[in-house]
Amino acid sequence: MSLDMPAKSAVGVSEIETLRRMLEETQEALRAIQHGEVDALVVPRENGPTIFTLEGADQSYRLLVESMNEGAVTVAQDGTIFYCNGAFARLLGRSMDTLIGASLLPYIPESEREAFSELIQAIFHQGAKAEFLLIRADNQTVPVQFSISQLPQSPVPIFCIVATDLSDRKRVETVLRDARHQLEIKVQERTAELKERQQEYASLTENSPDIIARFDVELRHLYVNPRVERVTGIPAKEFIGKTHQELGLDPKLCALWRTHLLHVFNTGEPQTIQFSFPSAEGERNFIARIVPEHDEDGKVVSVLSIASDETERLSAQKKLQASEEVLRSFYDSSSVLMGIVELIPGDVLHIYDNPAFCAFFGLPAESTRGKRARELHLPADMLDVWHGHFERCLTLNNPIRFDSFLRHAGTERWLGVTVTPIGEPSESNRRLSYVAEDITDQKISEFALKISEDRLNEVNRTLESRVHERTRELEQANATIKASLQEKEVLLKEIHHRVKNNLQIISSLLRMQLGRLRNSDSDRILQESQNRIRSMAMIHEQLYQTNDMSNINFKSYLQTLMSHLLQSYSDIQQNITYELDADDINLHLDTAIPCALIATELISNAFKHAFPKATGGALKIRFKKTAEDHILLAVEDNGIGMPPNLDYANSSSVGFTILNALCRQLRSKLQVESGAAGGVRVTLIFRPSENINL
Amino acid sequence: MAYETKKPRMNSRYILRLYVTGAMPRSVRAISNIKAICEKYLTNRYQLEVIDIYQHPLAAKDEQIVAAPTLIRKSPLPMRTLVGDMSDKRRVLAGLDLEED
Repeated sequence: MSLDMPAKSAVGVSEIETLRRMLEETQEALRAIQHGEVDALVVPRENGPTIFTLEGADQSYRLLVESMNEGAVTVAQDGTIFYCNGAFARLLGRSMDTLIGASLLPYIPESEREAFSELIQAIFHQGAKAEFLLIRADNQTVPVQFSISQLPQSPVPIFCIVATDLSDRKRVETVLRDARHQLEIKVQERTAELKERQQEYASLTENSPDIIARFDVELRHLYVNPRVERVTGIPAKEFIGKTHQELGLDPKLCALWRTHLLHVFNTGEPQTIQFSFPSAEGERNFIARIVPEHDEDGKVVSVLSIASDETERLSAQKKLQASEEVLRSFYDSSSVLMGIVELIPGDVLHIYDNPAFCAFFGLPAESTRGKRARELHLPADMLDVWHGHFERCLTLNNPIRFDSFLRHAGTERWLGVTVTPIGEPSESNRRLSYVAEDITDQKISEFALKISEDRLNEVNRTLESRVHERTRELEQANATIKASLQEKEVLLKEIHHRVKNNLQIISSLLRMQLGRLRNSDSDRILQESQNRIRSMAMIHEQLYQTNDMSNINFKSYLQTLMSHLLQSYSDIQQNITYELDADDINLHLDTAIPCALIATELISNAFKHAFPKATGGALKIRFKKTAEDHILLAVEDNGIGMPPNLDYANSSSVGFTILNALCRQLRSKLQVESGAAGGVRVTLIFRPSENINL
Repeated sequence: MAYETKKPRMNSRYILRLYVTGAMPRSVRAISNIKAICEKYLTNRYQLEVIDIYQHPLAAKDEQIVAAPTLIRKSPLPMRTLVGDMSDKRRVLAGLDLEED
């Protein structure tokens, strides 16, 4: 740097500028030096600039050595320590002060000291590395690696040692050694296991029911298991090293194997072949799998074939196929709608429907496969109904039957549908089978039947109400009739009462006449007439006193009559006894009146004629039912008997005239004979009128 | 600074060279100080080259370096020289013709 300046006038402005800049730079450098902001000054010399540092230039290296983690130490040839760093002191567990100036040797175990000294002696220029132990203050040893080098350019030999703590590395080494040991044991175990496994496989192969063989590239057998002998009759040993042709097997079979084995060798693709073999046990069918075996480069070096006897399975498959065909024929030819569907949200997926289904909905056969019901334009109302039932069927896991009405292609049809879940229904399995039958005709007849039933019921109801009405009318009529009958009865009673009263009046009139008459003949005639009228009046009296208006209990009548006649004839006859032997017979009015008059006449005759001396006597009156529904009336006395010339049938007396007339009325005749006790017995046997009530 | 030339335009690109002596304390400080200033005031428009004159003694000679650390502004012109550890930020900014924010 030159500072000799030329005169201002003589130099250019630019030169002044340069000088000014140089001055500024120099000032700047001086300022920095004064403020202690620089590390070094650069002084140009002949052989390049020399750098003068303002502080110890080794400061940074010292710091490096002081703070590094490796132990660093400089020693003299006899082991005296000139310097050591903190890491080295820590390694030994001692302070730096005690170490510097002391010998390193006491910290090396005696056994290794000589080796250390020898190592130091041997070092000249090249460094050396060696492992030693160091004795720590606590008498433990630390494994270290010493990197030793000799410091250059020093008047006495000084050695620099970097000591690396190997404790961690040693520990790791130990762990690694152990691990390796363990690994070796494991490898041995696995090897043994593998050997065992290999033997197992070998035994499996040897005893396999399949024929296992391995072929080389020349298609010769490398291996074949013993099973082959049972099928081919050739021992397994014979196969080794031979091709199928060389073994003399069927040429067709040889060609088949050759083709496929070569294919596997050439392409590396596994092959499956099917063949049959006429074994000693009959024709057997095999399926063989041929797989390639590669070497390390991926080249096919051999192939392995495993042929399994599938005879039974294949025949079972054939049978299954046959039975499936049978089922299919039902399925396809049935007039019943059948199919399989899957329930999807809001729709039904048709998996398969038989031709009957397609025909019913006018769809081409097979066209429904994999379609959704809405895509097929099936009737929408039907779909909703079916979907609901399908859902229920899956929920219940039970077959469901329902009837479905639908309008399709202008017709109204009824289907009877049965749906059944296929397998166990779940989230993933929502499949169902359905069977649907056209039940329209059945529904129509059911409907017709229902209509006629309804009609019948209506008619029944009408009839019932009519019967009811009529019954009520009849009941009313009956009541009316009953009332009028009662009225009639009352009237009849009234009539009988009046007839009786009239007859009694007549009888009373006669009695009055009788009282006036002094003539005994007239007196007798009147009395007889009165008795006759009286006997008739008694009939009427008895009639209206009982409930029966047309029949009279003649037994009780005869009693009444008898007591009246006893009283009536008491002026001429006392001491008359009578015996009445009568059955309980009711006589109709038509019969009763003539019968009563006949009885009156006969008894009166007995009173008048049988006992003329009025000394008393006995009467016997019988009124009996005879065998042939006839009635017998007999009056018998024990009096004087009949006069010998009496012809009562032609008698002109009033009594007999009356008797004969009455007997004719009863279509009968009197029979007169002598009584058992010497008197007279008169008997009348007659047939009562139709409406007699016995 | 007594002598003022026209200031460099804003946004002009800076090329800086810092001469140091190895990893000595002030050199190390100078590196970190100038880096911080450049990053803050010359973001994306500076190029800083650090040269160790121990390793390249001849480079020091070419630039007539007297002391280390020394920063030289090569661009924009005119060249400027700053010596020291770059710890006085105001001086450094003035030397680079940069204004403090």
